[in-house]
Formats: sequence, structure tokens, C-alpha cells
Amino acid sequence: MTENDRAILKVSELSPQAIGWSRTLDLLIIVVAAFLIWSVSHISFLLLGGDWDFFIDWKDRQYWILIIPITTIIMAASFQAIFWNLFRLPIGATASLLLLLLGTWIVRYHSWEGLAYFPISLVVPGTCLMGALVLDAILVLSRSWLVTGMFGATLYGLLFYPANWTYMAGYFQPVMNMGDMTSVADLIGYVFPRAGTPEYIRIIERGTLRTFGDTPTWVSAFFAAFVCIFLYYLFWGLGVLACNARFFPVGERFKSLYGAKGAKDQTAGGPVTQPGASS
Amino acid sequence: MSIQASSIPSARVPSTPKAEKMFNLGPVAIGWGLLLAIYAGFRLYQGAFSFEYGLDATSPEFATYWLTLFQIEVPLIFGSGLCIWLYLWFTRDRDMDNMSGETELKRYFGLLAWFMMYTFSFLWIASFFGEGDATWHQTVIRDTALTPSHIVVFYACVPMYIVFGVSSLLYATTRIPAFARGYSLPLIMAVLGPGLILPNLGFNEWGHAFWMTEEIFSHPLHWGFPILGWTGLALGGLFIQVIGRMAVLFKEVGGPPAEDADLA
Repeated sequence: MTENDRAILKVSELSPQAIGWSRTLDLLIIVVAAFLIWSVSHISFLLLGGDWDFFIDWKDRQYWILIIPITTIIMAASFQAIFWNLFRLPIGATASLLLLLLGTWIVRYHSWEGLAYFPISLVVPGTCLMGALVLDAILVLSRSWLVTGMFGATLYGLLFYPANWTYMAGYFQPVMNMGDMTSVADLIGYVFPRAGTPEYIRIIERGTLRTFGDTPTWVSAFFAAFVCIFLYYLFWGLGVLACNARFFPVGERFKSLYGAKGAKDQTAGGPVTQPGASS
Repeated sequence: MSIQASSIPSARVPSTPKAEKMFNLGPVAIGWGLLLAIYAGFRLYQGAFSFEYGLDATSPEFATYWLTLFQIEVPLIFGSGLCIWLYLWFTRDRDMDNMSGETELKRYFGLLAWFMMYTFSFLWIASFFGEGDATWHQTVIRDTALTPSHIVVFYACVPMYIVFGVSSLLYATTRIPAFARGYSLPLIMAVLGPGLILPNLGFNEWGHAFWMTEEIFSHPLHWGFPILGWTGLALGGLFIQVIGRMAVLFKEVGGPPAEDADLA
């Protein structure tokens, strides 16, 4: 135990026994919070923008760069607000995106490859971790959600594409396929037609951004950064709202039914006694 | 240079046998183990019989392997849930005004144990089987609302976390004074919101029956699920309610503050 730990525990005015209980509570909160963050981040991302992350050929230069940052920053912002407001911990965005990445890798391996036999090279997930680290770093340095939204969310949107470029570059290389030029990612996709293939052709393989990357990617990245700013503020607000600890008053009948008829206030329990007095 | 073991400062906070009794990890570990076995069993069952017998809902093999599972799991899960809920209700504390602080503190730990079960079970639908459903739809689309994927994710995993969510709510309101004296907004939100995913399936399946939406998993028809999932964020407010009261109880039940010698 460090001198700092001792000083904190002394200020807490807890007994050694209560310090043990408090540490147990810390661990339980961490476990519950981790499952919650993992679940909510994944279901939110999955059903708002999942298609663009499921497949390597859908990781295009127009929608992927736009949709993934704006669908992931929403829960990152909400959890950042919760952790910052409740615990002054600048870890919400990183926790959200790290657990999301863990969840997606597990599913890609066990379901996409393990159940449906798609190759992992087709379903490898993208990552938003770099943007999340920057978002949390700016929050802890500025201690302001306003500044974090303005600069952090901008960088979050801008950094997504370069952060993924390292592993994506190989898939964007041009190859010849039956006399036509295509990308390696598209070539893998041609071998495994999916229910989403018609939509891929309708949505993605159209427009004027039909290149292998290059300048259109930055157009998309800047648009993503622009949208991320507004969504960050909106979902920070949702996180703050979620920290509302309100109890609504109930009638005497309800209290009586639940064995709390003689209650004098809304929050406190019954008379507090030393251990062993009653159980 | 040698270091004597006794000179190394301990990183552990002094604990007493009483501290270990306040929270019992055993039931949670057993519960997690059981759930893990059930979910792993579902995944193995899917791997063995999804593509073999699950492609045509009109085939006799589908009825044998998949409808039978559906007909067993739904009454079994909701029946078990009903038993748990009735037990929690009929064994409720009818005299909360005279509850000792120690009992109240134990029950707060009990509530967190219920939430460990609830969030663990929610994780499997929101993450593993939720995205796993996309693998089915991107591969074979669907013919009815009862696909091998749905029979697991919607009609087993969803009822399972509803059982634990409602149990958490009932445990809190029947055993902890603060939750019996007022409706906890975050607790109701955190249980009711994700619970509404089950009735939202009606809209989901209705939409799928009329619009060909298999091609995009993140279709607007599905947006009800994440929006209801966001209500889980209300656990943040519940943490304030729980931690705030437990912090008071730690001081009042735990005895006098630690001395310097205790913290050494």
C-alpha cells in the first residue's frame, strides 16, 4: 500500500473492515460496468452501422469512413459522460471501444467463421481505439466536455481511417479479375456472395468516389468528423441524463405492501446498528 | 542486497472474516457457470443442426430439431422465472423499518450480485448471439420468424435476461428499504427498457414479413433494439443510488475509522 493509498483511506474515515467491503464493492461495480459497456456498445454499433464493419469489401472509401465513427462515438460519449460525472475517470470512450473490439473479434471468429464458414480475412473488424484514446486524453487534459466535443470528436472522426490503414492497405491493392480491375477486398467478396451483396452493389459501387482510396477518403473523414461533433454533444447529454438517481414517491399502500410503511424518508434505510445486532 | 519479506509493504487492505461474509461470490459463480454452459450448448447445437436441419421451416426435420427446442425453452425459461419471482415476492421482508444496517448492507451486495447475473445474460444477446444472428441472415435469409438463429437469440437469450432483470427489480423492491419507499427511475429504466426488446420483436417480425430487409442488418427496422438497449445506461443512476447508500452504511456498520497502524 502506498503512502497515497493510506492518505486516501484515512480521509475516508472507514474502518479496516469497511475498507474491505468498499474494495469488494469496487470490484463488483467494475464487473457490472464492464458487462454493461460491452453489451450496450455492441448492440448499438451492430444495429446502427454493423454492415459496414462486417465485411472487408464493405469497408469502402465513402460510407465506411463516415458510418463507423458516427455510430461508435455515440456510446463512447455516453459512457465518457457517465464515468466522468460519477467517478471522474477519463476511461469511458476507451472502455467502450476496447470492449466493442473484443466482442466483435469473438463473434467474427466464433460465428462468422466458426458457424457460417466465412474466412476471417472477409470479416476482420475495424478499430476505433486510437480515436477513443485521443477522446479520453483530451477530456482529462481539458476537463471540459465542450472542448472534448470540439477537438476530441473532430480527431475521432479524422483518425478512424488512418488508424485502420495499416491492416487495410493490402486489401485495397488493385488486381485483375476476369479481365476487369478490382480490389483484393472486392475479389474476396465476389467469392462469398451474401444477402447484402445486392445492397453492396446498389449503395457502395456507385457515385463519383469509385477509387481505391486517395482523396475521397479524406472527404469522407472530414464529413465524419463534422457529424461526430454534434453526436458527441447529444450523447454526452444522454449519459448525463442516465446518471439521474431520482426516486419517485409512492403511496402508502405501496409502502405497506412492500413492508416499508413507517418510512420517514426516501433514501435512508432503517435504523443502522452494529454487526450482529440483527439479521 | 536482500529484502526481508516482512519489510515489503502489503498491497492488500486488511480484511476480516466478517468482510468475506458480506458478499458471497459462490452463487454468482455457479450462476455464471450454468449460464455459460447453456449458452455454449446453444452455440454447439447451432453448429451441429443449423445448416443441417434449419434451412426449411416446413420440413419435418426442422420441427424435430428446432420447433421442439423452441417449445421446450420458452415455457422452461419463463416458468423458472415465474418461480424465482414468486419466491422473491412471498419471502419479501414485511418489516423493513426495523432492518439492521448490516442486513441492509448485505442486501445491497445481493442486489449487485443480481445485476452481475443480469448484465452477464444481457451480454450474450447484445453481443455474441446478436451479431451471430447477422451471420445467419447474410447467409440464408429467412423463411419464417422462427429461424435457428432466432430460436436461440430471441426466444432463449431474451427471456433469460428478462428473468434476471425482473428478479433484480423484485429483489430491490422487496428487500431494500430505499427501493420499497419510492420508485427508482434508473432501476425501472434499466430493467424495463431492455425488457421491451421482446415485444419489439413483434414489430420486427411484422416488418420483415412485408419488407425485404435482409440485405442490411442495420436497417431502420432494427433501430428499436439499440434504442431500447441504450436504456441500460440508466445503471449509471442506479450506481449513484446504491453507492451513495452503501457509503453511509460502510461508516455506520463498519465501526470506528482505521488507525495508522491498521493501514500499515
